[in-house]
Amino acid sequence: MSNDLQDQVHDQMSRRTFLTNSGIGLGAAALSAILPNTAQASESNHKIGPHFAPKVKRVIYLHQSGAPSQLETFDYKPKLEAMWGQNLPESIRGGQRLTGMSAGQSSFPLAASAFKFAQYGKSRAWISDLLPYHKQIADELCFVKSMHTEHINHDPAITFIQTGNQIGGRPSMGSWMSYGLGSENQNLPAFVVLLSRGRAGDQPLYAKLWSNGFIPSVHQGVVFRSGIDPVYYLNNPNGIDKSSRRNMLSALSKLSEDQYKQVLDPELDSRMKQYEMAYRMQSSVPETLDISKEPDSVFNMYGPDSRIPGTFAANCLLARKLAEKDVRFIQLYHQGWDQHGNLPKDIQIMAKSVDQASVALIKDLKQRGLLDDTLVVWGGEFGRTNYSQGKLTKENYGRDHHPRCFSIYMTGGGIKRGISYGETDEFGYNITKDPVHIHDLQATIMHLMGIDHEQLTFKFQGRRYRLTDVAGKVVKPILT
Amino acid sequence: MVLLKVSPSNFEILIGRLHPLVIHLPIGILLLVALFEFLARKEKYTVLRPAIIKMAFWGMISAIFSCVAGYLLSKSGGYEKDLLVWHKWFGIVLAVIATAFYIFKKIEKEFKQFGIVSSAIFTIMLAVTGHLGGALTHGEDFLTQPLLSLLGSAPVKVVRKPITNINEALVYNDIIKPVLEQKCVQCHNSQKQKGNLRMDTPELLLKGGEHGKIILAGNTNESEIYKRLLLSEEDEHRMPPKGKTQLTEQEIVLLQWWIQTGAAMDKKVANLAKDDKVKTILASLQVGAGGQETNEYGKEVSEFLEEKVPNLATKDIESLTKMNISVDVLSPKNGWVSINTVNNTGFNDAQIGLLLPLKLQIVWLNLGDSQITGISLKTIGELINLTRLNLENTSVSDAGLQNLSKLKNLQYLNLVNTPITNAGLEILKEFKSLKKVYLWQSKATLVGVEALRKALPNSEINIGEELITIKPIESK
Repeated sequence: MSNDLQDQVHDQMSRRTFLTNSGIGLGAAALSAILPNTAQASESNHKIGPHFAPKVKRVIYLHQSGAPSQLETFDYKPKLEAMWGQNLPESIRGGQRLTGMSAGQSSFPLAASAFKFAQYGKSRAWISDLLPYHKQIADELCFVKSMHTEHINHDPAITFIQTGNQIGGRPSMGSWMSYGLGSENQNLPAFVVLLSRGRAGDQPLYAKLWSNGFIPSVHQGVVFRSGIDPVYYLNNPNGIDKSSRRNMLSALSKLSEDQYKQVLDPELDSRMKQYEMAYRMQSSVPETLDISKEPDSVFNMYGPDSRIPGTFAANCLLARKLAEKDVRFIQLYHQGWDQHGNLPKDIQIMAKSVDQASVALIKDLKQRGLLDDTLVVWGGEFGRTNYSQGKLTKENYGRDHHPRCFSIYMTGGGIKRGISYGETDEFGYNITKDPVHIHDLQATIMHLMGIDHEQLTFKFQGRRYRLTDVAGKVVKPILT
Repeated sequence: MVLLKVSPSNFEILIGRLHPLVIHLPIGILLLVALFEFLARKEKYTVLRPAIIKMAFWGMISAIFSCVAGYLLSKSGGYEKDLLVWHKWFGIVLAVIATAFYIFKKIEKEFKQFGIVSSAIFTIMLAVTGHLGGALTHGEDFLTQPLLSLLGSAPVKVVRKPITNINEALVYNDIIKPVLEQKCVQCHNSQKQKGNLRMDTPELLLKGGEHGKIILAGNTNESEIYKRLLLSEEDEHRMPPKGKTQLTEQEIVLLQWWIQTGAAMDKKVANLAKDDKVKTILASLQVGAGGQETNEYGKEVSEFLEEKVPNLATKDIESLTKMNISVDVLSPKNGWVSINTVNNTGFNDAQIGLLLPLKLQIVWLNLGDSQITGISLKTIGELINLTRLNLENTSVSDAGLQNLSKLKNLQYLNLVNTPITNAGLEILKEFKSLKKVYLWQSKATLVGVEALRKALPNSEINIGEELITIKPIESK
């Protein structure tokens, strides 16, 4: 199948339309009958991958927006306790660009974690007291402590991790997956987005993060809202019943098809598909998102928040339900990890909102046998500084943005569980071993889904684009 | 003075190189002469006669010119001697016959049947000379090889054994030689020796050509072979020359690596130092693993057999997709397929037979939440390449499980929320390939599960996960 807009239009023009409409005669018409009908073939299951056997069929990406501190969670640095309050040596900082928020500080006092660390599980993974539930799954996780990124501010950094580029306009990771692998489930979008808030005054999220960019808009992420109306304008207005909706759509689709033949705009094709998808979603979405039939034991597992729609815990439960329905890419965003000040107190609010639910999700996936064909990724867009932003006291401090290192974890099919990959220096400032760039992470996620990140491209404005731009290396040591 | 001395030889080269072009003129013209001569015997076509003489003239001219050009080309060397001698003399004789033909026509000294006999002769001569010329340029078996293959009697073309373990592969024999054979040997072999160089045996390859050695072990940058690979395509010294199949970037890297590490003829891949780039390329040469590459931490374990299964018939796929059953090709290289009934929860025992045409291809089968019962397991047992089987939330029973014993590659079995009991687990004890079994919310008990764990010590038997509730820490 062509992955190229111009080629697609060209195909339409040259084969089907030309042969049948130009009246060359019976022979030509017969010829066109044996040529593949591109429009029809791409109707339901657009697919140009996988390029090789996948390890997993779906991804649940638990994005922690605002960037949780690696130094309070998984990257234990006793040196910071020993050197508490001392200035960050210039030799370590190495001229690193700082944000305007702490660049003007006269000193950069090293701040140790307010939370105690210990090692857990057979894998002896370091986890702080901030995330007590995570201690229970230490052996299920693959920690990557050597993540690094290119920008120091939220918008470009989060855009980078989602789309492979700091500036918006490129397709999101989930859109690439939808484009490359299609969807097994015909009644739900391949790329679903669930949003939640941790605390007030969060960094904003933007629709460009789940945008399809320049690839056909059927691949854009669909946001499911909490509450009785999960997708805007999905339900029929009063007075319109299912059959009249069906009639209207069928008539509209005929008109669109006629217009498509004239103008060959692939967006028309996209729009028709989206209308049809929306029609099917009228019944599939309420059914999938209905958590009222879940037993109490499940709510107890995900924690009390899971009964409140729109929380991270409730979204984790929905993520599991969407995974059961074979949605290809399930993207959660949880806002509120931007602790520039008052970190010890604020980060606890955040940790509490995700700790139990994240762990419950992983355990729930596991007992249902879903963890073997699902990849779960948990992490933010960058790390946080080892020095305090603002005044450092024993009780209080803050941390500024830090792109040079941060920690994430992954688990699921094809990933080695119970390992820790990559190391940072004793200050927790620079990577000393096995750095993993954002593009490497993206290449690895694609690899697990059976996609060669260098092969999945889309031609736009004269150039072929891909999620990993011109970089990215699969992180093989963490794969089984 | 130097200029004077050089330019005639350049002129000669130019004329010589025109040979492959102009050679087609006498062929075409003289064939037409023969055709006209034949036709003109009929009353109806006598009108053609005056044309024959004109054409014979131009046939003569072009034949003579071709001879001269061919002679000049042969001086540049590199052609197989025996063939060349035959080609040359046939060509000359042909030109002589063409000339004689024209002269006899011109002076109208024609005896009976002269035209038809002589045109028959030069037609045959054309065929022979042309063939010899073709053999010189393209190699002697250029035509015969595909022809004999067509007739089924060709010497079996050597099929290279696929590299299954790259570390054990011989660098020259398994990696370098195939590249040379494909891209170089055509012009550097026993029959055709451009630049007096032969590359078809290791000894001759190391010996070099008219400019001396082409490979300097350990010094790639000074090795003629490498230098020429990197020249611009417009450069006359570039190899392979413009228009011929070029080496890929990866092949050049491998060649560079081989020369740099000593151009050894007998070393294995494992014995030579390699950087990341070389490692990656080498890994891609290894077959199997569905395109997954090796790494220094060991091979990524592929779940599926490496063999290739036949492609699916469109009608078999259609009969499934019509039922809203999703069919996903998992590995285009091997043809493995995943089947999922997520869009058709009404799928039942009556429809399970639809899977049988795909019984070799299906490796993942997800029938979770469908209406199938133990009866379907009989059919599922026929899908011999299955590695993952999802039966959660169905009413499959203990009795049917025995049917799955034929699935020798089954690694994952999901029986969550099924009526499976300990009796079923007894049967599973014999399923030695199992790596993961999910039994949460089934009717199996801890006793049965413990017994199964003992029988299958290497598999993970999951009967549910527990989360210990923790009181949140108080803020400091």
